[in-house]
Amino acid sequence: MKIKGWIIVELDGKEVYRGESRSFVQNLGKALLAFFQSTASGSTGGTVSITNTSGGNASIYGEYYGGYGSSGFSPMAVNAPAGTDSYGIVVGSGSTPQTYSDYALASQIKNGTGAGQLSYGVHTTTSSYGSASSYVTISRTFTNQSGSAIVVREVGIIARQSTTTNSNTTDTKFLIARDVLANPVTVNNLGTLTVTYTLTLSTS
Amino acid sequence: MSQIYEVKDPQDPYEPLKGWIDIEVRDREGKVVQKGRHKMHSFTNNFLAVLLTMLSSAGGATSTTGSVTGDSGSATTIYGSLISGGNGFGGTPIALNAPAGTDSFGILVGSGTTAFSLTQFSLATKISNGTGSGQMSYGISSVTDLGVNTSVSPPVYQIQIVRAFSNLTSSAITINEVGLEAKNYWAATVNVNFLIARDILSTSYSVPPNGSATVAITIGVTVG
Repeated sequence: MKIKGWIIVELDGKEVYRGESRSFVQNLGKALLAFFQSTASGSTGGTVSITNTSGGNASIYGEYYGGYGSSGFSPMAVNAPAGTDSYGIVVGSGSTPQTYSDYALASQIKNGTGAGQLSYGVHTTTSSYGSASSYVTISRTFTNQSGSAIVVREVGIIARQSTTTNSNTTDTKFLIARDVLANPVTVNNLGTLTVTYTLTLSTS
Repeated sequence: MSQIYEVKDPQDPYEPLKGWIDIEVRDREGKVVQKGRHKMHSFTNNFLAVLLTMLSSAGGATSTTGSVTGDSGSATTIYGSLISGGNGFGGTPIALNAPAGTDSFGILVGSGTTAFSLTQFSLATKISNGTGSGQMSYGISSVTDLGVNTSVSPPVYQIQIVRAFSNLTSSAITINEVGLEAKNYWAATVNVNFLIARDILSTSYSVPPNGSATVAITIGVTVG
């Protein structure tokens, strides 16, 4: 059995990059640790320290229950809405080599229509499950409305953990993947860039 | 079994998730009578499905559902996030830290040898918890952070799950398969057990009467 990760980059609908993802960072391992060590006992716990996107230490939960009012838990969300660049799939212009301790892109391109900015779109997911091969994908499209070309050299995934108690939500955002592209991709004005992460399982 | 195992596969160093199963069998005097190591080949579709369900959440005040095949073989709804208007809502997506005496999640062992398929939802023949014929007493699980192993390239973040199984019957019991069953638990809403990994061992392990087997699964996340 094999597990593989892939990054696919499309420019104006045409594939321009396909590479093996070598991108997970230690925050993902720590998040899985938090979830795995949960006892499912109905009690809040299983905290693990991670590095948030500001570079500070933060605790995330493996299991969480809120108090009165609205309450709930979102362990590791990625499905950010359009216009949000603080989590989900993100892109940047930096080329600093990836390390396991990365907590942010080297130089994230912000959402917007100003100089050097890209308009962040919604995410889409797909999945296919078979007895010999399966995959899941998550994609996001970025549109250049800045008036000038923008070069993308790095892509990543920022997760959001939300804990809600007494109708108040607290968020922790943490990088779980970062890849520096082997070849930079130039997004022309009014062009679109689509980044897809794929995780595959196969028995061969 | 506290040794830190090095998780790497020189044939495919960039495989994003990999693991090893270590088994140690002891007799009634505590002497090691058999041990071995096996590379995991085994994550199931359920593992992809629970990851996708979590990632599909937008966070904040949203609930997200997905589907796995529960250990009874039926498609079952799980949550990737949950929020509700009331006290005590929340949960955990993929718990493995089962208490002693529980054979419905955590590391499980079995005697079956049916070939692996991504669609499997249970061990072929689970050895149930107990002291009756053909049963083993399931110990408490432990989940340990082994941190990043930087002595290998690329580095690997390692998590180790360990569980002991005691044979309190009067006959030897053979272990041929090992599984990881997770619990997706959301208070007052969902309580689903589902298989996320199953491995058929290349060697059978015979646990003598009053002996024990300790199973350690070391999962590595390639992080560079």
